[in-house]
Amino acid sequence: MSNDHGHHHKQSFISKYVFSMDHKMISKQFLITGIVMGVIGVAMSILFRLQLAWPDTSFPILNWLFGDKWAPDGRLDSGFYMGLVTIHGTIMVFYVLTAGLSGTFSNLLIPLQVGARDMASPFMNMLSYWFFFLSSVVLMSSMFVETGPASGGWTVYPPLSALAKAMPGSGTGMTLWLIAIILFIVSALLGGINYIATVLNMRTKGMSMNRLPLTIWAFLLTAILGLLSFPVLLGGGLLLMFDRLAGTSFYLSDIYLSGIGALEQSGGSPILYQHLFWFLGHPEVYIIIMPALGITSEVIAVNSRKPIFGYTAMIISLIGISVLSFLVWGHHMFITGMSPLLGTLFLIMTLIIAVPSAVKTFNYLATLWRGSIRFTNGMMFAIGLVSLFITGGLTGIFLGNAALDISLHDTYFVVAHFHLVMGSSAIFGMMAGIYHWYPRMFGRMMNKTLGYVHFWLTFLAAYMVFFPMHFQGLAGVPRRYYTFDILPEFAPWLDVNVFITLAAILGGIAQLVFLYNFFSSIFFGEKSVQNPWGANTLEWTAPVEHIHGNWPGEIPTVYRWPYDYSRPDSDSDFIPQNVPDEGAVEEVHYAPQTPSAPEHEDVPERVMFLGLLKNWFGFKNA
Amino acid sequence: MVNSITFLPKRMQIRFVKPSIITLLFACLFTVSFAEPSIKTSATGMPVSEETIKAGETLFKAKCSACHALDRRVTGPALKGVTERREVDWLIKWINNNADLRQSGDADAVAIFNEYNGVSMNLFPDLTEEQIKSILMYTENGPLGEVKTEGGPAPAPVDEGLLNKTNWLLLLLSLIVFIVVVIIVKTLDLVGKLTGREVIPWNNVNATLMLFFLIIGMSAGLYELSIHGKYTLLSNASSEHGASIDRMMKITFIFTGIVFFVTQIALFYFAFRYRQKKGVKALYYPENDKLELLWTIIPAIVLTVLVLGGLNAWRGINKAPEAGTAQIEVFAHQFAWKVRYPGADGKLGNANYNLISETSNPLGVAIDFKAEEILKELETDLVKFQQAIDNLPRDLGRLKGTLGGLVGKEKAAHIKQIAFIESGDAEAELRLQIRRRHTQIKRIKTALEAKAIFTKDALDDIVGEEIHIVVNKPITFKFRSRDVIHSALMKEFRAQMNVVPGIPTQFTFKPIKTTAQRRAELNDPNFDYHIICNKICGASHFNMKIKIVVEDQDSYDKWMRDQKPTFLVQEEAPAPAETESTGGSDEITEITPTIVTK
Repeated sequence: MSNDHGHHHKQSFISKYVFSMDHKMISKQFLITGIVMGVIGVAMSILFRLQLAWPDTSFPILNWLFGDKWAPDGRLDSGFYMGLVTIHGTIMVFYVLTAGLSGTFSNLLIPLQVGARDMASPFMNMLSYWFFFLSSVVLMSSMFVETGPASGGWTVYPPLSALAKAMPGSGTGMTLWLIAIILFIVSALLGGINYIATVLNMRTKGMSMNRLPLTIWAFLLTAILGLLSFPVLLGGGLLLMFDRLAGTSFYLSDIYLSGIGALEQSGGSPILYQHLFWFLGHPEVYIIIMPALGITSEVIAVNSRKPIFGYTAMIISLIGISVLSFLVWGHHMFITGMSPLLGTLFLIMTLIIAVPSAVKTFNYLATLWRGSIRFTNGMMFAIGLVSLFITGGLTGIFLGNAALDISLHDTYFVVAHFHLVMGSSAIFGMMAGIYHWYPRMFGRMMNKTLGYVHFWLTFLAAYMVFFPMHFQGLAGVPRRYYTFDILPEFAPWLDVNVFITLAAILGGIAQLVFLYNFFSSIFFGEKSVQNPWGANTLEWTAPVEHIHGNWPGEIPTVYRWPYDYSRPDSDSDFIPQNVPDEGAVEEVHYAPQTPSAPEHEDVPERVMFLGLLKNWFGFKNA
Repeated sequence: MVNSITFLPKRMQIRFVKPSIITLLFACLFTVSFAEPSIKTSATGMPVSEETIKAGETLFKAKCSACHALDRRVTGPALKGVTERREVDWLIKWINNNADLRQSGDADAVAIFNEYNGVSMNLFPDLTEEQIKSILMYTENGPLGEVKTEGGPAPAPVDEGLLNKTNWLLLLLSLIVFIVVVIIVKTLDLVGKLTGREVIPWNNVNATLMLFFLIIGMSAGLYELSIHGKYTLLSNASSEHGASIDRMMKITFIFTGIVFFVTQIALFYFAFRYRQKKGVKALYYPENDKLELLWTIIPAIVLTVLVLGGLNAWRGINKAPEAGTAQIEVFAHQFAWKVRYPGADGKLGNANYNLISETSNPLGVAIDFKAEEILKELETDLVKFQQAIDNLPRDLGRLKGTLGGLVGKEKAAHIKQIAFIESGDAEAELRLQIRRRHTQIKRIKTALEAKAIFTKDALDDIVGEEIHIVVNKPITFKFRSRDVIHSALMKEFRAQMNVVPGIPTQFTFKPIKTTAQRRAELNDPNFDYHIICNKICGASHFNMKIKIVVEDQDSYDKWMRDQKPTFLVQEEAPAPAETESTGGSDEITEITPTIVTK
């Protein structure tokens, strides 16, 4: 972009849609990549659930998809089954619920809600997306290598993942998995630094920290968590890479592998990897759920037409969760043979973290109480999140209790717990965000009736899939099993597995409704008005049409906190943040078609990616 | 034990076979449809008999079923009719020691190795030729029980074509449903737009649905509890500490249950009750410090109770075992468990992974004469590897020579093998193996010189494939892994511990119910306690278990008398089963370096 024209700069397709540095476009890129990965991840789960429900039935579709090698006679190979489970987990945790959720909404909302023209570093922001994209490509490519994708579970514990000969998936697929995760971490760090810098430095006039919407608080703390924990996984992953490729023994000791013999490696500890992994892995859970909680706070407040209850308590809870999340990773490792004393400490810390989570839940309930609830699609998903968060959160109290974990560790109880509390909850938060900010992203509305269909089917399916798993887990049914022939006691669960799989298929079909609604509304949706939900936050004061720099004129000044809904002293049931205390409520409208140029310095002059590269490497443009 | 033939001397086995032929003849004559093996002649050359097939079945279930099934591929190929695909002699070599066969350059062995992505099958050097043949006969015939039921109602054959059609129909149906939904929705929207008001009052509908969801969801949850509640492991633990876990579980259930019902009901009720209504404005109610303090303190108190209860249970479970607690070693590898008893001296001997030999010392127990043997094996390996390196050019020539006549998978395997050799990877891998063996030899020699780990304790150790423990006596399971992380889940005992290579872990508990008692309690005569693997350890992770028999002291002692020290051979061997062999290591002075491998 150059200022010589003084008017709207005509961007090339590449700089507008591909190597864009505009946070709004990057957020759409994150969202759509996340949705594509989500479709793959969910589809995988349905495919491997076919195996669990009908272990002896031949499904031509499996053979058609995966070929004779991985699904001979239409039945999944047991190693490839584990590969699907592993990649499903990796995709959903990192690619959909970290990048797809945080990446989308941090990018969209941070500049718009704090009143900034763009991110602190738009270029880094663009890099963040492209590292993520590259990472997704590398991960998916591992599905096509000869020995199959990584198959040791999404936690890829060594020695299984460190020794190429321990199982097929520990071959090239595992190396690609590590490369993908390393690229992903680079992306997460580039994004995170940017989010923090933007929130701390680029808030508009009057936007003090105690006037920030809870979404921004959640994104800020999420970014801090990521910044502090992802590097540890990076280190852990690199050491694993060395063990695999360079013959080191950080994680290996005393191993005799069938067909190979005693290995030279000695002195390493497989448990060290688990510590490094879960030092990220546990905060990661909160990296996933906090943005969803932030979105829920905002959506519930807007659609209850009530201020969020206990704004300060909400922030303190978020901070409490963030700090504590670094002190609880050991609850994933109670039965690794770790010192019982350490187990004691992690038990205490883990149960303490339930307190701020409980406070958040009660505050949501108090916000709904005596509200004036509008069941927009976003609101319904937000309510769904609260319900799933309660159900899934309560089972965490079992698992955090070391003594109970002895029985429950790695059973379906764990699967039920985390799929509800961070899987479904975070997906619901993401959906709430998509429905709520869709008008802001695409300037059009999604079809709300289809949205209702989507919500009810998804909500029903989520409970139908994950609720019965609690019972399976309490009966000691282990997760990550290909079939359950091992013990006769597991026979009654076959029917339950059929039920769950059918429910999962129902859930999958519901997502087709969403996909249709999402993509068709981009082009054919009803045009959105500027502030369709009557919300207070700053993003709704910007014009519907996306422009560089977000606001055509000056950035609005903030005079109040974001939750002035239904104030008794005002006729209107909302007072946007940019309305001065004494001023009347006045909505600012911009004609959507008016092309306008931003007049400020924040947006970099050059958006041409190649130009920047040339500049960087010292080649002057001719 | 896994099979009865194993422990019998050869001549007895033959005697065993003879009457079985007569039985078979009788069977053929009088009851044609009863227990008739489906084929009359076996490719193994052994006479077909029910006993042999049964023995084969037992062996198959113990040794093979972790990775193989008869009629479908699991981790390894389906084994039905394997004798039609391969020579029996080759199969015996392969099953005994497939690594050896591969290293000898056998093209088929290499091809299989490649087809299964370089994951090698476990070695079974302890299986005798007869045993392997019985397994093969089993794969020819399939389980005899199935033959028996042939006359009865057979499971309806699955019509693949029909299944295929059903799948497409389902797909088509869901597509139609989807289109119908979209059309209805669009019509409603259009009508709404034209008439200027909503056709369906969505806000009220959704609010009501919220209430319905609550009621239906809660009822469905309670209904499921009534069906599946009985399977949950919340009471009747079979171990002493299990009661404390069960109690804690119930306490947690009560607290979380109350919170669950209160919050979910509040959530959905509020959603219904406070739906938007004309003329009703929401209450501006941003905070209430007292309320917030209340619902911070109450959860804090509840959680304190749970923390204290949990700590109490946790400490009880983890307290150091009393001196003199019996110990056994539970050994895990891909994809099986083994158990080692301390023998008469009550002490488990040392073990080290460098001393593991799949052919003669699967647990790597530290016994000096075994170590010497392993050294010899390793030296042989070194020679073999060197030969293999020297033979690479010859192999390459042979592979290239035979390439022309091959097709399909075999050709692909050959091409891959050629590439493997030509790229130098084959040599590099062999050199790596040589280096590994050198390291191992050096380590064993150092250990032999230091002598520290080679104690007498190991001499009378007993290695087995079934765990026997005594009821009401505390026992410590000392876990050791050979390759990757496994986890020993004993759900009935409320016990679980990871089995980590390089890091010894253990779990002490006191079983309080014998297998028989638990069977009576469950009213299931086939029930058995098991350890199953609960940490993903490879493609056959789901198939890794070992039986635990809990019995009273008498039957334990009786069982123990039948066990023989694995590494010792007494002079009077082979001993008949009745002979008492207390196996006290001190009495046995004639340690002959001959080995008996089971």
